[in-house]
Amino acid sequence: MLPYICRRLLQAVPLLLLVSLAVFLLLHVAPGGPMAAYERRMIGLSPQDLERARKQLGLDDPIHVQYVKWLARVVRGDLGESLMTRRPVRTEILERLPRTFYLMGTAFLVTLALAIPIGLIAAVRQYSLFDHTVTTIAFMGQSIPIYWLGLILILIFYGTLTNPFTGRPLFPPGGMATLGAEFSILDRLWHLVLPVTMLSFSWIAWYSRYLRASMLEVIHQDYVRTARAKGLREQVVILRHAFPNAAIPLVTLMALDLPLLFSGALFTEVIFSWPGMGRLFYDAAERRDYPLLMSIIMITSVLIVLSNLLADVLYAFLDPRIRYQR
Amino acid sequence: MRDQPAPQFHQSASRPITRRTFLKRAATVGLSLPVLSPLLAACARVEETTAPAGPGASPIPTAAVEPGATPTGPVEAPRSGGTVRHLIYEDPDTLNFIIGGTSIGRQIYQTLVEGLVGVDPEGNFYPILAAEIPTRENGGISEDFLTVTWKLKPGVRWSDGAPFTSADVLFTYEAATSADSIIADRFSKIERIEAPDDYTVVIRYSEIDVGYLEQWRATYGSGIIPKHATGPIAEITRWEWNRKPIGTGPFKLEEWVSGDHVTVVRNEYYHEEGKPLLDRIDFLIVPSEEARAQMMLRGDAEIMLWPGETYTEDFERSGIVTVGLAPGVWNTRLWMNLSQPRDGNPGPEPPHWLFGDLRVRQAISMAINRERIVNEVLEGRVALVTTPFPLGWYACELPPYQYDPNKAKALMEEAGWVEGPDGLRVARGARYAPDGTRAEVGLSTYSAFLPMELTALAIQEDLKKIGVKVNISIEDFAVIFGGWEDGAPRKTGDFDLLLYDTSIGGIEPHLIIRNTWHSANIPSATNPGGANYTRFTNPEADRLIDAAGSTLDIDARRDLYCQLAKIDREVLPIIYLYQFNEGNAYSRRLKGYVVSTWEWSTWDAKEWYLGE
Repeated sequence: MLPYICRRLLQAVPLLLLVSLAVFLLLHVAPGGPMAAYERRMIGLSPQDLERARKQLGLDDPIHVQYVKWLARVVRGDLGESLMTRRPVRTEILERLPRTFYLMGTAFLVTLALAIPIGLIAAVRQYSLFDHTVTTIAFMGQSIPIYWLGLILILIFYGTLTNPFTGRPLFPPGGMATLGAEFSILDRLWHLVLPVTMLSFSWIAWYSRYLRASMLEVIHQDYVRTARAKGLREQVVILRHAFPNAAIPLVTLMALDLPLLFSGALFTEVIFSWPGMGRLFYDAAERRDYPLLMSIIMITSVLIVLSNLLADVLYAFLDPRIRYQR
Repeated sequence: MRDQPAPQFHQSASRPITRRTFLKRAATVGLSLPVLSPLLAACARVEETTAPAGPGASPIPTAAVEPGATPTGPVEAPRSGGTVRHLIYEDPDTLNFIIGGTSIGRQIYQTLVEGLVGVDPEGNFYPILAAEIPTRENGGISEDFLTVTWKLKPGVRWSDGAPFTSADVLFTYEAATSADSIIADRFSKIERIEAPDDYTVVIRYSEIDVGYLEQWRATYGSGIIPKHATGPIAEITRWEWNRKPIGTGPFKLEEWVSGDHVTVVRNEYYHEEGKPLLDRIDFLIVPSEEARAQMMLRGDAEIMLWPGETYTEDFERSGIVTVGLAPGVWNTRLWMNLSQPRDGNPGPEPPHWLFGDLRVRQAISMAINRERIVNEVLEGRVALVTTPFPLGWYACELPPYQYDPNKAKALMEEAGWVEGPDGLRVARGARYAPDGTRAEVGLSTYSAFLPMELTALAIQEDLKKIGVKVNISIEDFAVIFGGWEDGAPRKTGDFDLLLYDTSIGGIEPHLIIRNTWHSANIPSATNPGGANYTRFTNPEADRLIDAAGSTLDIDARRDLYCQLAKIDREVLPIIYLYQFNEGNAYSRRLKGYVVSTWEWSTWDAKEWYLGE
């Protein structure tokens, strides 16, 4: 196993280099640039002023020089400065990261807590009312545009409905906590409800359907029938024998979703004013903040490579039938 | 075996249901929803007050709408205290406007830092940190116009208690002209600046500088920044002050959580007795426009910037929110490229194959039905504009444009563009195009802004009627407004028609006028910052612009700019369509707020207070 992991890691290096080059080129070749913000929003700048701004941002060098400079800095651990805020990229990312982690982590746990039982029960009671309902809702969850869903949630649960006890809206329109109020767990949870709902809606749909399909496969296997024949209780058969085997593909799926804990969910963070990584990326992309964009994209790429490796290793670990060759 | 239900070895209460049965039942539930939903709605709060909107809140822009219309309602006695929540859509990035900054940051900055002067809603300068506006009468301006003496207001303190003196003004000048500054150019005519005592600043100019007041206004500059609380100028991009400015303004910054909110609180050292009235202002960062509108309607915020037409109606109807409008300096214009596009040459020669001919430009102008665009397409929410200078002390009225599609067609024929078999015009004896060229051009505008798209469509229709085919391309904002190196089409001259709204640049227009109309400012490799996108070249216009920049005589300058406007109307490189009314939505509880064309939304924040 260890040689396999080493080999994969070594392969990742040229891959990431290639990714960095491709992304850098794409970003710079794409029309538009960071100067748009100056040209438009800062009225009253003379041509000379714009020139200085451009030089200051390091946009003067030819593109290959810019790439080499960037690469040289990155390998030394210097991610550069945001063009817009002039603060180190590291600071920007580290500020936002915990908030995204908090949101996505919660959504992930909620998803697991709901998707696993739902998928399990739907498979065990195939074609029951429960199964049909759940499958239909799952289908909707995967088809509904997530942006629209978020807006509807705000319109209904904040814009329209009122809490009968307080006279205020039922849920907040966004943000992590009530501004100016004391820290309270309840307040935090209250702010989490809508964005987590939006995020987990399609996530649960995904996972539960996956688990359901996987369970259906496993339930029809011979060894399950054997376990029943041996006289074990149905609950034990399902939970101790069928489920762990059905869960293996799901576990690898979950491992592949881990980078989301870092990169966040763009739409959710925008609609619910959540100051996390997704928003950071969105703002940076809009303003062509190249250093920030490159850093976020490269970190995400590294995480994806690592999570892919993790998924493969986990799969081999959990399923004794899988073994990787040297 | 798979198409049968799983063997039921456990005692389950549920019978297997077929999918068909399930869907039938679901349909039944679905059809009953229209009956159920009114019942559900009754449980939700749906009282919308139908208070009629006051006269000051009319969204119909008329010439009678004065800049800075105050809200109606009983005038209450101002009271101290309270928090106002101001909705902004993005993070301010940096609060150091010498090195960067955005218009959102400006809303916050204006509560924190002041300049020597400000501009009132009528467009007149008034002193803030200066004791008075320097004029020739009071000796502030020398006989030869080249020396300006500022007397500063005594007894002013920074928000950390330190005294404000002339040393701070000198420091501001040094910082603003340092290598990292992006506002250096406006100070380029200053030859010498001295502070003979703590409250006097003497500035000597090398030539007449029409921006002698504007350069010391905080609105588009930096205002006056403190020497003691910033740091070495060489490290200006790393000052802590950039995240937490200390200024003389009515508020001081308490907290800035990136991406979430910025909080400013009362500055106890503020130099005006009893002001500000409010305790604090929370700038909440809410990127989603829908969420912002809902927050206003629910009373969770008091100000929202620039709501679109979508929400203006909802606000008016709600009775909770007013939209304060003032005629804006944002004009929508159609820019025609006078030079040949896509020939590798950004300069004015050779002339554009279609728009190079004045008759064609006149025809285009006559073919566009502006009244229809303003009244029908944009439903009267904008105002017609016929001149590049509709507002301010330099306003210059010009006769209305003619709308005459028949005459337009005649002009096209005269210019050598005859109607082809499919209605599209084809060159036959045209001045700059070989015979057989089709009159088909591209029009670019930026995305995610409905008025632009609607206007583009209207123009496409109008021009089709005279036989010119327009292909619309909606581009990303960053593409239209990109820089020379980004290959932005308006910089390199590779476009036919451009449609977007632009600003004159506030109370002192000279810089932008020079950028836009002077032939020296055609963008090129040596002048990538130039803004003369139409490649307009007219020696008389150049002369007028240079003259207007060389005198402080307001009347003379107005006259010169007006002559420029007339030339612009004759040559027609740009067609003016309409102007937006700048407006912010604010809660009826917010009093003391006056919308001003010339300043940002928080310019009078010290006067704000909350009523009922």
